[in-house]
Amino acid sequence: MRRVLELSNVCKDFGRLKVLKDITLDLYEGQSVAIVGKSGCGKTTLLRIIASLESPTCGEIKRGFHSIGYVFQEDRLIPWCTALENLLFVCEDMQKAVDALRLVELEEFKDYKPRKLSGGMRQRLNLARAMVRTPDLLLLDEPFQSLDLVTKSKLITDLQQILNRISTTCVVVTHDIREAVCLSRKIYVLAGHPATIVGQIELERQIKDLFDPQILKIEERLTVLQQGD
Amino acid sequence: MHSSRSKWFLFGILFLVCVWYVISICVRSSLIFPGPDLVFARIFELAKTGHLFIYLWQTFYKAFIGLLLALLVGLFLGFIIGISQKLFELFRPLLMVVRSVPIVSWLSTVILLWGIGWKGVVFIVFMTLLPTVIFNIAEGVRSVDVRLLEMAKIYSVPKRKVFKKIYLGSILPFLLSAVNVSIGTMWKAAIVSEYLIGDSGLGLQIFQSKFYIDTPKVFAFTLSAVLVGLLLELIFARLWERYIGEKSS
Repeated sequence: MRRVLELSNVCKDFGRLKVLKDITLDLYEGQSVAIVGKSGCGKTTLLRIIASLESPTCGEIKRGFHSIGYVFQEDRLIPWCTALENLLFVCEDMQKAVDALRLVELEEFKDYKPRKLSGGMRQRLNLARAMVRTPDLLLLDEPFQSLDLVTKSKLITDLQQILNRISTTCVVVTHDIREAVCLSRKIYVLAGHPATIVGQIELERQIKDLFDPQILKIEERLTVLQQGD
Repeated sequence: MHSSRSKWFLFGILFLVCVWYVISICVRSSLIFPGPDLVFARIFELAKTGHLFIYLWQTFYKAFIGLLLALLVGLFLGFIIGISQKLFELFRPLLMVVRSVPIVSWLSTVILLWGIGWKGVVFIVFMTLLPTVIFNIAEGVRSVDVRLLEMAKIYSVPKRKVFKKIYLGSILPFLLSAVNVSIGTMWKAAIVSEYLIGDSGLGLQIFQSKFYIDTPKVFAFTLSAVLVGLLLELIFARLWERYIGEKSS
Protein backbone atom coordinates (compact mmCIF):
# COMPACT_ATOMS: atom_id res chain seq x y z
CA MET A 1 0.00 0.00 0.00
CA ARG A 2 1.29 3.47 -0.89
CA ARG A 3 2.22 5.80 1.97
CA VAL A 4 0.25 9.06 1.66
CA LEU A 5 1.62 10.87 4.70
CA GLU A 6 4.53 10.40 7.07
CA LEU A 7 5.14 12.62 10.09
CA SER A 8 8.40 12.10 12.00
CA ASN A 9 8.98 13.83 15.34
CA VAL A 10 7.01 16.89 14.30
CA CYS A 11 6.79 19.71 16.82
CA LYS A 12 5.25 23.16 16.71
CA ASP A 13 5.89 26.24 18.85
CA PHE A 14 4.12 29.62 18.67
CA GLY A 15 6.80 31.83 20.18
CA ARG A 16 7.33 30.54 23.69
CA LEU A 17 4.16 28.47 23.61
CA LYS A 18 4.96 24.85 22.79
CA VAL A 19 1.88 23.25 21.21
CA LEU A 20 3.00 19.94 19.72
CA LYS A 21 6.02 17.70 20.27
CA ASP A 22 7.31 14.47 18.76
CA ILE A 23 4.30 13.69 16.62
CA THR A 24 5.00 10.58 14.57
CA LEU A 25 2.41 8.89 12.44
CA ASP A 26 1.99 7.20 9.07
CA LEU A 27 -1.00 7.16 6.82
CA TYR A 28 -1.54 4.76 3.93
CA GLU A 29 -3.73 5.05 0.87
CA GLY A 30 -7.41 4.36 1.56
CA GLN A 31 -6.86 4.43 5.33
CA SER A 32 -9.01 6.54 7.61
CA VAL A 33 -7.59 7.67 10.94
CA ALA A 34 -8.95 9.85 13.70
CA ILE A 35 -7.02 12.01 16.14
CA VAL A 36 -8.86 12.70 19.36
CA GLY A 37 -7.93 15.11 22.10
CA LYS A 38 -9.42 17.71 24.37
CA SER A 39 -10.42 21.11 22.97
CA GLY A 40 -7.41 23.38 22.51
CA CYS A 41 -4.83 20.59 22.73
CA GLY A 42 -3.41 21.25 19.24
CA LYS A 43 -5.46 18.99 16.96
CA THR A 44 -6.30 21.75 14.49
CA THR A 45 -2.66 22.90 14.47
CA LEU A 46 -1.62 19.37 13.52
CA LEU A 47 -4.16 19.30 10.70
CA ARG A 48 -2.99 22.74 9.49
CA ILE A 49 0.60 21.45 9.43
CA ILE A 50 -0.51 18.48 7.29
CA ALA A 51 -2.35 20.90 4.96
CA SER A 52 0.78 23.15 4.70
CA LEU A 53 -1.06 26.06 6.33
CA GLU A 54 1.52 26.04 9.14
CA SER A 55 5.16 25.00 9.07
CA PRO A 56 6.44 22.67 11.79
CA THR A 57 9.10 24.06 14.13
CA CYS A 58 11.00 20.78 13.92
CA GLY A 59 10.59 17.29 12.54
CA GLU A 60 9.97 15.99 9.06
CA ILE A 61 6.88 15.58 6.91
CA LYS A 62 6.74 13.49 3.75
CA ARG A 63 3.66 14.18 1.68
CA GLY A 64 2.67 11.56 -0.86
CA PHE A 65 -0.50 13.34 -1.95
CA HIS A 66 -1.14 15.91 -4.67
CA SER A 67 -4.46 17.38 -3.66
CA ILE A 68 -6.37 17.73 -0.42
CA GLY A 69 -9.92 18.37 0.59
CA TYR A 70 -10.44 20.20 3.87
CA VAL A 71 -13.67 20.19 5.86
CA PHE A 72 -13.39 23.16 8.19
CA GLN A 73 -14.85 23.51 11.69
CA GLU A 74 -16.90 26.44 10.47
CA ASP A 75 -18.21 26.03 6.92
CA ARG A 76 -16.15 28.83 5.26
CA LEU A 77 -18.64 29.08 2.39
CA ILE A 78 -18.65 32.26 0.31
CA PRO A 79 -21.85 33.97 1.56
CA TRP A 80 -22.71 35.79 -1.69
CA CYS A 81 -22.26 32.70 -3.91
CA THR A 82 -24.82 29.93 -4.37
CA ALA A 83 -24.17 26.33 -3.34
CA LEU A 84 -23.14 25.45 -6.91
CA GLU A 85 -20.93 28.55 -7.25
CA ASN A 86 -19.19 27.64 -4.00
CA LEU A 87 -18.22 24.31 -5.53
CA LEU A 88 -17.28 25.87 -8.89
CA PHE A 89 -14.96 28.20 -6.97
CA VAL A 90 -12.65 25.26 -6.23
CA CYS A 91 -13.43 23.14 -9.31
CA GLU A 92 -14.04 24.37 -12.87
CA ASP A 93 -15.83 21.19 -13.94
CA MET A 94 -19.59 21.76 -13.84
CA GLN A 95 -20.42 18.04 -14.06
CA LYS A 96 -18.17 17.23 -11.10
CA ALA A 97 -19.73 20.06 -9.08
CA VAL A 98 -23.26 18.80 -9.79
CA ASP A 99 -22.18 15.22 -8.96
CA ALA A 100 -20.70 16.40 -5.64
CA LEU A 101 -23.95 18.16 -4.80
CA ARG A 102 -25.84 14.99 -5.64
CA LEU A 103 -23.48 12.99 -3.42
CA VAL A 104 -24.43 15.10 -0.39
CA GLU A 105 -28.10 15.30 -1.50
CA LEU A 106 -28.09 19.02 -2.11
CA GLU A 107 -28.70 18.97 -5.86
CA GLU A 108 -32.07 20.66 -5.60
CA PHE A 109 -30.54 23.43 -3.43
CA LYS A 110 -27.82 24.32 -5.94
CA ASP A 111 -29.13 27.87 -6.41
CA TYR A 112 -29.47 28.57 -2.67
CA LYS A 113 -27.06 30.87 -0.93
CA PRO A 114 -25.47 29.52 2.29
CA ARG A 115 -27.61 31.69 4.60
CA LYS A 116 -30.73 29.96 3.25
CA LEU A 117 -29.38 26.51 4.11
CA SER A 118 -29.59 24.87 7.54
CA GLY A 119 -26.45 24.20 9.63
CA GLY A 120 -26.44 20.55 8.58
CA MET A 121 -26.88 21.41 4.89
CA ARG A 122 -24.04 23.94 5.06
CA GLN A 123 -21.80 21.32 6.58
CA ARG A 124 -22.77 18.86 3.82
CA LEU A 125 -21.89 21.54 1.28
CA ASN A 126 -18.56 22.06 3.08
CA LEU A 127 -18.02 18.31 2.67
CA ALA A 128 -19.02 18.40 -1.02
CA ARG A 129 -16.51 21.18 -1.63
CA ALA A 130 -13.80 19.11 0.03
CA MET A 131 -14.56 16.13 -2.21
CA VAL A 132 -15.41 17.80 -5.53
CA ARG A 133 -11.89 17.51 -6.89
CA THR A 134 -11.58 13.87 -5.71
CA PRO A 135 -8.64 14.66 -3.41
CA ASP A 136 -5.91 12.17 -2.47
CA LEU A 137 -6.32 13.16 1.16
CA LEU A 138 -9.40 14.37 2.98
CA LEU A 139 -8.90 16.35 6.20
CA LEU A 140 -11.84 16.87 8.55
CA ASP A 141 -11.51 19.34 11.41
CA GLU A 142 -14.27 18.87 14.00
CA PRO A 143 -16.72 18.48 11.11
CA PHE A 144 -19.86 18.15 13.25
CA GLN A 145 -19.18 20.71 15.94
CA SER A 146 -22.15 22.92 16.77
CA LEU A 147 -24.67 20.54 15.18
CA ASP A 148 -27.50 18.96 17.14
CA LEU A 149 -27.35 15.24 17.88
CA VAL A 150 -29.96 14.18 15.31
CA THR A 151 -28.31 16.13 12.47
CA LYS A 152 -24.90 14.93 13.59
CA SER A 153 -26.03 11.28 13.59
CA LYS A 154 -27.57 11.63 10.11
CA LEU A 155 -24.44 13.37 8.75
CA ILE A 156 -22.14 10.70 10.20
CA THR A 157 -24.16 7.96 8.51
CA ASP A 158 -24.05 9.92 5.23
CA LEU A 159 -20.31 10.51 5.56
CA GLN A 160 -19.64 6.83 6.30
CA GLN A 161 -21.48 5.86 3.11
CA ILE A 162 -19.67 8.50 1.06
CA LEU A 163 -16.25 7.52 2.41
CA ASN A 164 -16.94 3.85 1.72
CA ARG A 165 -18.03 4.69 -1.81
CA ILE A 166 -15.05 6.86 -2.77
CA SER A 167 -12.47 5.16 -0.48
CA THR A 168 -10.45 8.35 0.10
CA THR A 169 -7.59 8.52 2.58
CA CYS A 170 -8.90 10.51 5.47
CA VAL A 171 -7.79 12.21 8.71
CA VAL A 172 -10.46 13.33 11.18
CA VAL A 173 -9.63 15.42 14.23
CA THR A 174 -12.24 15.75 16.92
CA HIS A 175 -12.71 16.03 20.66
CA ASP A 176 -15.75 13.75 20.40
CA ILE A 177 -14.73 10.11 20.76
CA ARG A 178 -18.09 8.92 19.40
CA GLU A 179 -17.53 10.82 16.15
CA ALA A 180 -14.00 9.46 15.90
CA VAL A 181 -14.97 5.80 16.26
CA CYS A 182 -17.79 6.15 13.75
CA LEU A 183 -15.51 7.55 11.06
CA SER A 184 -12.31 5.51 11.43
CA ARG A 185 -11.00 2.27 12.78
CA LYS A 186 -7.61 3.62 13.83
CA ILE A 187 -7.67 6.28 16.53
CA TYR A 188 -4.73 8.25 17.87
CA VAL A 189 -4.98 10.02 21.23
CA LEU A 190 -3.39 13.43 21.50
CA ALA A 191 -2.77 14.76 25.03
CA GLY A 192 -0.36 16.65 27.26
CA HIS A 193 1.30 20.08 27.22
CA PRO A 194 2.81 20.26 24.67
CA ALA A 195 0.59 17.65 23.08
CA THR A 196 1.93 14.39 21.78
CA ILE A 197 0.42 11.09 20.71
CA VAL A 198 -0.02 9.17 23.96
CA GLY A 199 -1.63 6.08 22.53
CA GLN A 200 -3.62 4.53 19.73
CA ILE A 201 -6.27 1.88 19.34
CA GLU A 202 -7.43 -0.05 16.32
CA LEU A 203 -11.00 -1.28 16.17
CA GLU A 204 -11.88 -4.75 14.96
CA ARG A 205 -14.91 -3.50 13.06
CA GLN A 206 -16.30 -0.19 11.90
CA ILE A 207 -18.83 1.28 14.35
CA LYS A 208 -21.97 2.09 12.39
CA ASP A 209 -23.75 4.67 14.51
CA LEU A 210 -23.33 7.08 17.42
CA PHE A 211 -25.55 4.97 19.68
CA ASP A 212 -23.70 1.64 19.28
CA PRO A 213 -23.26 0.13 22.82
CA GLN A 214 -19.64 -0.82 22.02
CA ILE A 215 -18.72 2.87 21.93
CA LEU A 216 -18.92 3.08 25.74
CA LYS A 217 -16.08 0.56 26.17
CA ILE A 218 -13.93 2.29 23.56
CA GLU A 219 -14.67 5.63 25.14
CA GLU A 220 -13.44 4.30 28.51
CA ARG A 221 -10.20 3.02 26.97
CA LEU A 222 -9.55 6.29 25.16
CA THR A 223 -10.37 8.38 28.25
CA VAL A 224 -7.87 6.34 30.28
CA LEU A 225 -5.24 6.97 27.57
CA GLN A 226 -6.05 10.71 27.58
CA GLN A 227 -5.85 10.99 31.37
CA GLY A 228 -2.84 8.73 31.72
CA ASP A 229 -0.58 11.47 30.43
CA MET B 1 -47.15 54.27 10.44
CA HIS B 2 -45.50 54.84 7.06
CA SER B 3 -48.38 56.93 5.71
CA SER B 4 -48.39 58.99 8.93
CA ARG B 5 -44.69 59.76 8.45
CA SER B 6 -45.29 60.73 4.79
CA LYS B 7 -48.14 62.98 5.88
CA TRP B 8 -45.89 64.81 8.34
CA PHE B 9 -43.16 65.06 5.73
CA LEU B 10 -45.61 66.73 3.31
CA PHE B 11 -46.70 69.09 6.11
CA GLY B 12 -43.01 69.91 6.61
CA ILE B 13 -42.64 70.88 2.95
CA LEU B 14 -45.79 73.01 3.13
CA PHE B 15 -44.47 74.67 6.29
CA LEU B 16 -41.16 75.42 4.55
CA VAL B 17 -42.94 77.08 1.60
CA CYS B 18 -45.10 79.12 4.04
CA VAL B 19 -42.04 80.32 5.97
CA TRP B 20 -40.34 81.20 2.67
CA TYR B 21 -43.45 83.13 1.57
CA VAL B 22 -43.70 85.02 4.87
CA ILE B 23 -40.01 86.01 4.76
CA SER B 24 -40.36 87.21 1.14
CA ILE B 25 -43.34 89.38 2.18
CA CYS B 26 -41.35 90.83 5.09
CA VAL B 27 -38.29 91.53 2.90
CA ARG B 28 -40.52 93.13 0.22
CA SER B 29 -37.92 92.90 -2.53
CA SER B 30 -37.77 90.19 -5.16
CA LEU B 31 -34.22 91.29 -5.94
CA ILE B 32 -33.06 90.29 -2.43
CA PHE B 33 -35.42 87.46 -1.52
CA PRO B 34 -38.01 86.41 -4.13
CA GLY B 35 -41.11 84.54 -2.94
CA PRO B 36 -42.05 80.98 -3.93
CA ASP B 37 -44.69 82.17 -6.43
CA LEU B 38 -42.08 84.03 -8.49
CA VAL B 39 -39.51 81.25 -8.25
CA PHE B 40 -41.95 78.48 -9.22
CA ALA B 41 -43.15 80.62 -12.13
CA ARG B 42 -39.54 80.88 -13.34
CA ILE B 43 -39.03 77.14 -12.98
CA PHE B 44 -42.13 76.40 -15.08
CA GLU B 45 -41.02 78.96 -17.64
CA LEU B 46 -37.56 77.35 -17.93
CA ALA B 47 -39.04 73.87 -18.00
CA LYS B 48 -41.54 74.86 -20.72
CA THR B 49 -38.79 76.08 -23.04
CA GLY B 50 -36.77 72.92 -22.23
CA HIS B 51 -33.72 74.94 -21.21
CA LEU B 52 -33.86 73.76 -17.61
CA PHE B 53 -33.50 70.11 -18.65
CA ILE B 54 -30.59 70.94 -20.96
CA TYR B 55 -28.75 72.70 -18.10
CA LEU B 56 -29.53 69.83 -15.71
CA TRP B 57 -28.20 67.29 -18.22
CA GLN B 58 -25.04 69.37 -18.82
CA THR B 59 -24.30 69.35 -15.09
CA PHE B 60 -25.31 65.74 -14.62
CA TYR B 61 -23.06 64.24 -17.28
CA LYS B 62 -19.97 66.09 -15.97
CA ALA B 63 -20.74 65.07 -12.38
CA PHE B 64 -21.38 61.50 -13.48
CA ILE B 65 -18.11 61.23 -15.45
CA GLY B 66 -16.27 62.56 -12.39
CA LEU B 67 -18.00 59.98 -10.17
CA LEU B 68 -17.30 57.15 -12.62
CA LEU B 69 -13.61 58.05 -12.86
CA ALA B 70 -13.36 58.34 -9.06
CA LEU B 71 -14.94 54.88 -8.72
CA LEU B 72 -12.61 53.29 -11.29
CA VAL B 73 -9.41 54.86 -9.98
CA GLY B 74 -10.58 54.55 -6.36
CA LEU B 75 -11.32 50.84 -6.81
CA PHE B 76 -7.79 50.23 -8.09
CA LEU B 77 -5.95 52.43 -5.56
CA GLY B 78 -8.21 51.42 -2.67
CA PHE B 79 -7.48 47.78 -3.42
CA ILE B 80 -3.71 48.39 -3.52
CA ILE B 81 -3.59 50.29 -0.23
CA GLY B 82 -6.18 47.98 1.35
CA ILE B 83 -4.02 44.88 1.01
CA SER B 84 -0.95 46.53 2.53
CA GLN B 85 -1.01 48.22 5.93
CA LYS B 86 2.27 50.00 5.11
CA LEU B 87 0.90 51.48 1.86
CA PHE B 88 -2.28 52.46 3.70
CA GLU B 89 -0.28 54.44 6.28
CA LEU B 90 1.95 55.87 3.54
CA PHE B 91 -0.96 57.24 1.50
CA ARG B 92 -3.21 58.20 4.42
CA PRO B 93 -1.76 61.72 4.98
CA LEU B 94 -1.93 62.50 1.24
CA LEU B 95 -5.53 61.34 0.98
CA MET B 96 -6.53 63.23 4.12
CA VAL B 97 -5.02 66.42 2.67
CA VAL B 98 -6.72 65.91 -0.72
CA ARG B 99 -10.03 65.28 1.05
CA SER B 100 -9.75 68.57 2.96
CA VAL B 101 -8.70 70.78 0.02
CA PRO B 102 -11.50 73.31 -0.68
CA ILE B 103 -12.87 73.26 -4.23
CA VAL B 104 -11.68 76.82 -4.96
CA SER B 105 -8.10 75.80 -4.22
CA TRP B 106 -8.07 73.50 -7.27
CA LEU B 107 -9.05 76.43 -9.51
CA SER B 108 -5.64 77.88 -10.37
CA THR B 109 -4.29 74.47 -11.33
CA VAL B 110 -7.36 73.59 -13.34
CA ILE B 111 -7.55 76.92 -15.20
CA LEU B 112 -3.88 76.72 -16.13
CA LEU B 113 -4.27 73.14 -17.29
CA TRP B 114 -7.53 73.26 -19.26
CA GLY B 115 -8.93 76.80 -19.01
CA ILE B 116 -12.70 77.25 -18.82
CA GLY B 117 -14.65 74.13 -19.81
CA TRP B 118 -15.97 70.71 -18.85
CA LYS B 119 -12.60 69.07 -18.11
CA GLY B 120 -11.92 71.22 -15.04
CA VAL B 121 -15.39 70.46 -13.64
CA VAL B 122 -14.92 66.71 -14.13
CA PHE B 123 -11.46 66.95 -12.53
CA ILE B 124 -12.74 68.79 -9.45
CA VAL B 125 -15.62 66.33 -8.97
CA PHE B 126 -13.11 63.50 -9.40
CA MET B 127 -10.65 64.96 -6.84
CA THR B 128 -13.45 65.67 -4.36
CA LEU B 129 -14.80 62.12 -4.47
CA LEU B 130 -11.59 60.13 -4.90
CA PRO B 131 -10.39 60.04 -1.24
CA THR B 132 -13.81 58.91 0.02
CA VAL B 133 -13.94 56.11 -2.56
CA ILE B 134 -10.36 55.02 -1.82
CA PHE B 135 -10.92 54.93 1.95
CA ASN B 136 -14.14 52.95 1.51
CA ILE B 137 -12.62 50.40 -0.86
CA ALA B 138 -9.52 50.02 1.33
CA GLU B 139 -11.80 49.40 4.29
CA GLY B 140 -13.67 46.77 2.23
CA VAL B 141 -10.43 45.01 1.31
CA ARG B 142 -9.29 45.07 4.94
CA SER B 143 -12.57 43.48 5.99
CA VAL B 144 -12.14 40.47 3.68
CA ASP B 145 -12.59 37.27 5.68
CA VAL B 146 -9.08 35.78 5.94
CA ARG B 147 -10.63 32.38 6.54
CA LEU B 148 -12.05 32.49 3.00
CA LEU B 149 -8.61 33.41 1.65
CA GLU B 150 -7.14 30.46 3.54
CA MET B 151 -9.80 28.18 2.05
CA ALA B 152 -8.86 29.46 -1.44
CA LYS B 153 -5.19 28.77 -0.68
CA ILE B 154 -5.91 25.18 0.36
CA TYR B 155 -7.69 24.53 -2.92
CA SER B 156 -5.03 26.41 -4.96
CA VAL B 157 -7.66 28.71 -6.51
CA PRO B 158 -6.13 31.10 -9.11
CA LYS B 159 -5.56 34.67 -7.87
CA ARG B 160 -7.81 36.16 -10.56
CA LYS B 161 -10.71 34.04 -9.34
CA VAL B 162 -9.97 34.89 -5.69
CA PHE B 163 -10.09 38.60 -6.59
CA LYS B 164 -13.33 38.24 -8.52
CA LYS B 165 -15.22 36.03 -6.09
CA ILE B 166 -13.85 36.89 -2.65
CA TYR B 167 -12.41 40.41 -2.84
CA LEU B 168 -15.05 41.95 -5.14
CA GLY B 169 -17.83 40.29 -3.16
CA SER B 170 -16.47 41.74 0.09
CA ILE B 171 -15.84 45.16 -1.42
CA LEU B 172 -19.32 45.53 -2.99
CA PRO B 173 -21.17 46.84 0.11
CA PHE B 174 -18.33 49.32 0.73
CA LEU B 175 -18.40 50.40 -2.93
CA LEU B 176 -22.16 50.98 -2.74
CA SER B 177 -21.68 52.90 0.50
CA ALA B 178 -19.04 55.07 -1.24
CA VAL B 179 -21.48 55.81 -4.09
CA ASN B 180 -24.20 56.58 -1.54
CA VAL B 181 -22.01 59.17 0.16
CA SER B 182 -20.64 60.52 -3.15
CA ILE B 183 -23.96 61.18 -4.94
CA GLY B 184 -24.83 64.32 -2.98
CA THR B 185 -21.24 65.55 -2.91
CA MET B 186 -20.73 65.07 -6.68
CA TRP B 187 -23.78 67.17 -7.49
CA LYS B 188 -22.72 70.05 -5.21
CA ALA B 189 -19.07 69.90 -6.36
CA ALA B 190 -20.15 69.95 -10.03
CA ILE B 191 -22.38 73.03 -9.57
CA VAL B 192 -19.73 74.98 -7.63
CA SER B 193 -17.09 74.07 -10.24
CA GLU B 194 -19.37 75.17 -13.09
CA TYR B 195 -20.04 78.40 -11.25
CA LEU B 196 -16.31 79.09 -11.07
CA ILE B 197 -14.83 77.60 -14.26
CA GLY B 198 -17.68 76.03 -16.23
CA ASP B 199 -18.82 76.83 -19.76
CA SER B 200 -22.25 75.24 -19.38
CA GLY B 201 -24.68 73.72 -16.88
CA LEU B 202 -26.61 74.86 -13.83
CA GLY B 203 -23.59 76.42 -12.08
CA LEU B 204 -22.91 78.71 -15.03
CA GLN B 205 -26.60 79.67 -15.22
CA ILE B 206 -26.59 80.59 -11.52
CA PHE B 207 -23.47 82.68 -12.10
CA GLN B 208 -24.99 84.48 -15.11
CA SER B 209 -28.32 85.09 -13.38
CA LYS B 210 -26.46 86.54 -10.39
CA PHE B 211 -24.42 88.73 -12.81
CA TYR B 212 -27.62 90.18 -14.32
CA ILE B 213 -29.12 90.50 -10.81
CA ASP B 214 -31.96 88.12 -11.76
CA THR B 215 -32.43 86.76 -8.22
CA PRO B 216 -35.67 84.80 -8.96
CA LYS B 217 -33.75 82.92 -11.65
CA VAL B 218 -30.86 82.24 -9.22
CA PHE B 219 -33.44 80.82 -6.81
CA ALA B 220 -35.14 78.83 -9.60
CA PHE B 221 -31.89 77.16 -10.66
CA THR B 222 -30.88 76.56 -7.05
CA LEU B 223 -34.21 74.96 -6.20
CA SER B 224 -34.02 72.79 -9.35
CA ALA B 225 -30.49 71.71 -8.37
CA VAL B 226 -31.63 70.87 -4.84
CA LEU B 227 -34.62 68.86 -6.11
CA VAL B 228 -32.56 66.87 -8.63
CA GLY B 229 -29.84 66.28 -5.98
CA LEU B 230 -32.45 64.95 -3.57
CA LEU B 231 -34.00 62.82 -6.32
CA LEU B 232 -30.62 61.24 -7.14
CA GLU B 233 -29.99 60.51 -3.45
CA LEU B 234 -33.48 59.06 -3.13
CA ILE B 235 -33.04 56.78 -6.16
CA PHE B 236 -29.76 55.47 -4.83
CA ALA B 237 -31.12 55.09 -1.30
CA ARG B 238 -33.88 52.86 -2.74
CA LEU B 239 -31.30 50.72 -4.59
CA TRP B 240 -29.25 50.54 -1.38
CA GLU B 241 -32.30 49.51 0.66
CA ARG B 242 -33.12 46.82 -1.87
CA TYR B 243 -29.54 45.50 -1.68
CA ILE B 244 -29.57 45.47 2.13
CA GLY B 245 -33.04 43.87 2.12
CA GLU B 246 -31.85 41.15 -0.25
CA LYS B 247 -28.84 40.49 1.96
CA SER B 248 -30.81 40.18 5.16
CA SER B 249 -33.75 38.21 3.74
